[in-house]
Amino acid sequence: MIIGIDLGTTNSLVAVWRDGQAEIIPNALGHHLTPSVVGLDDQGAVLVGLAARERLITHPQLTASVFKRYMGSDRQTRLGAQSFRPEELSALVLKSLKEDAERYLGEPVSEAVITVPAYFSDAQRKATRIAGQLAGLQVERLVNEPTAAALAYGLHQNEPESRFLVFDLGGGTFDISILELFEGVMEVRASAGDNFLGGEDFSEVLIDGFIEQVGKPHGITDKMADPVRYQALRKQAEQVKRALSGNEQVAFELNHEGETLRWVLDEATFQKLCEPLLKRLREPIEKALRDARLKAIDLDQIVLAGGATRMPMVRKLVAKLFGRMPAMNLNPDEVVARGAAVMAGLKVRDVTLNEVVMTDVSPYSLGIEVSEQIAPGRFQPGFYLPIIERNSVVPISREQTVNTIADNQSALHVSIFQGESRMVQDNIFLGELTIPVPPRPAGQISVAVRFTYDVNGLLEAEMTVGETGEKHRLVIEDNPGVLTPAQIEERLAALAQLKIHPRELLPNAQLLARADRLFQQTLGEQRQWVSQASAHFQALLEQQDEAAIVAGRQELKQLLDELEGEGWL
Amino acid sequence: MSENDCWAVLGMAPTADEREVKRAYARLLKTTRPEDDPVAFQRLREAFEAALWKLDELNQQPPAPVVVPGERDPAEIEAEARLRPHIEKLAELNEQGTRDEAMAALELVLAEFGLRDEAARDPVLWRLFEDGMLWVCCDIAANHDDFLRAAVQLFGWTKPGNWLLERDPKTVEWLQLRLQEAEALEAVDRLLDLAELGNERQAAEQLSQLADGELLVSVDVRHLFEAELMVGLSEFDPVPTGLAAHAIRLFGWQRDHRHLEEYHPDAWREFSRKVAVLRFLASAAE
Repeated sequence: MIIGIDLGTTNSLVAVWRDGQAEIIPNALGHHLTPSVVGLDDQGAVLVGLAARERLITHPQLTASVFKRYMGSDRQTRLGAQSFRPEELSALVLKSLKEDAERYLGEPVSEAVITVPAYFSDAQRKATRIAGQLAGLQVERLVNEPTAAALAYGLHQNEPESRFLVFDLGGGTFDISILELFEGVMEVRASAGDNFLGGEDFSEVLIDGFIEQVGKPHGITDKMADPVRYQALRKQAEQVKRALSGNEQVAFELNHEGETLRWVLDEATFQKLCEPLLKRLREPIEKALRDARLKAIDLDQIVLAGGATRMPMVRKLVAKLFGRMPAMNLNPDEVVARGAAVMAGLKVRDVTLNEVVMTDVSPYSLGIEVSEQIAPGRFQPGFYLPIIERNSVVPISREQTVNTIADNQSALHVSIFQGESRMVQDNIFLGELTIPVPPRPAGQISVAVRFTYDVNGLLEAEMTVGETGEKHRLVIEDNPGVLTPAQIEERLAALAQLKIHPRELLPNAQLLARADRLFQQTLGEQRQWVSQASAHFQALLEQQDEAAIVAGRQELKQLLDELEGEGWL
Repeated sequence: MSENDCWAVLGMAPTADEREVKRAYARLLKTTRPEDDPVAFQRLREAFEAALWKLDELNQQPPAPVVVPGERDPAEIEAEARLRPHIEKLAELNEQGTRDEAMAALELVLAEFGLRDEAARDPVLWRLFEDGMLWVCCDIAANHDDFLRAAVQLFGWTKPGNWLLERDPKTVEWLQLRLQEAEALEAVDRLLDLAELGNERQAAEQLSQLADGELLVSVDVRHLFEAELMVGLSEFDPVPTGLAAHAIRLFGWQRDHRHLEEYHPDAWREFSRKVAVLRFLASAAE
């Protein structure tokens, strides 16, 4: 069985294609969303999901979140005595989802389709593949998130032909894709995006606002100074963000040195603060429409994906940008995962998907550095020569020929970049190779540079020296953000040493972590209740009477739910 | 791929019918999937793109206007016959006449058929008139803005609960866009007038306000606004430096100007030439 995974910045989901439809697989707690949070419990065992998220506040030094933002870099995150790379933290989330799927399906799972932001670079894609590998999953395909969302929507289209735009604002990334649907073909016409714009940024805006309005007068100037406080602020921001809608006033609260600090605001205030973020939504949309040579009025539907599109201000803006209301018939939190399941179904040639073919594009241009003649005999390096233009349908193979620029030049240096800027310094460096060429007068030696870009968004470069016919292939591995095969083996062994918190005990761990967090967030009488109830439940756990534990769990959960108003998941 | 290979790859005779090309491509795609056979897929894809390109060239003539037939009673047919020449006149004036001529003709029809007064007018005649006006408004690309505004106002097409919104939301979206575009073009004219009078600073200030304002939130309206502003600026000699630089910065034309170039290639060439000269003079002066 092959599963589809939406590995998100804030939440992750796993789904499967079964009996002609996509099914979201619940986790150990029975939830569809598994927070992308990894932590170590007090015994040093790995906790993933909601339990870990609860501990973000009580144990920030032992817990990690939003690591998707660092995929493709070699940034290390310390959890207690150990440090982890972003792909290892992602692997732990994937592993937990894999286990959920195995329980649900009743069979081992070893293959997956994983979604990535359309705008993810080569290094970020490779890191995602490696994360899968580290979790014991063969990644059969990486699919762009908005493409997955479109797949989920497209399948439910009754119109024989339509064009739609997917507006995907997730926890950490923003993607736009324009699709055309005809005769069972789902064709991505263009993708564009911003890898550093998502719901988390809107939360940060709220935190900054709180610090400015209420924090500073009370001596809190740096939101990051105290990790425990920062996580409490994040959680509060998330709650306030969800509550803000219409004219209602919402209070942003923080317990600080025995008193409750409050900042009361409404949606209009929040929107004003978010203006700079909202402005950044425009450029990718314009770029994608221009690349697809379409006007907004030509689109038949606007589809929303990603949890951040639940914010009323985002919906209002979308309606104004496109002059119509967006479609909302699928849950924006789940639509990408559903699409991943469809892709998994396509991958194994499920008969129910026989008549569907999907084509995708490369969302960015790929090219090499060249020198340009600025005066007779004078060359200036640093210019960008695109070989594959952005939004070309993949797979694609394209060639450009370059020449030597100096007499008796003995080598040619080929540097590969991704991006749209005229100067390579403003683009992303992917890899380089120096190839020997026979010494000849300037311009006499030509080298054909061929780029081949596959359906997973992975690039191969081949250089052919004109005179000798000698071929050189470039395997892009020298990237600081990408692990080598040897390093992967080493990391696999290290991960195998980790103790994983037993899945069946997760509901208990989550509840206790939540009680700890509430203890920290409440004051006075409420605090006493939490403390007593938590101690009582711990005592029950030690007695190991299953029926009593189940009853006690229910009781504690009810108390915590009451204390928190409504659960925020 | 040489001139006519694309049709051979697609297994069809040359055609100007886009649907037919798409159908042929889709059929072959199901046995030439991109993940199975990249080389064959790329050949098919190139043929498909080449064929689409060719049929674009073949399809330059606009489609003929659609007349909606239907079952009618004799009174309706008679009323339509009386109304028809007037509707055609309105269409003609919109295409070739001035704004004032078109507006005067509209007033004349309203008066002649007694359509102004809601209580007194003949409902059948009113409905036929509305159909005719809708045809004029949607099928004649060169409608005068005021004419369109008057029609939308008269029939309330964009108001919530209007029959048109229920039956054909796409047309309402289009009409709304068209009205916003008219407003945007007027805003461009005002800016250019200010620049002409030498009030460049004031024009730049207004441009900033517009760029952040409600009117230019819609991507299509903004697109047209930018393009018309560029065309207007390209006609100045010399170009008002401050305003041009401000527009370039505000709309990011230095990063992406494809829409401007596509909208009016000559004006874009002129604009970039004049702006480049200015930049050169500025750097020489430093």
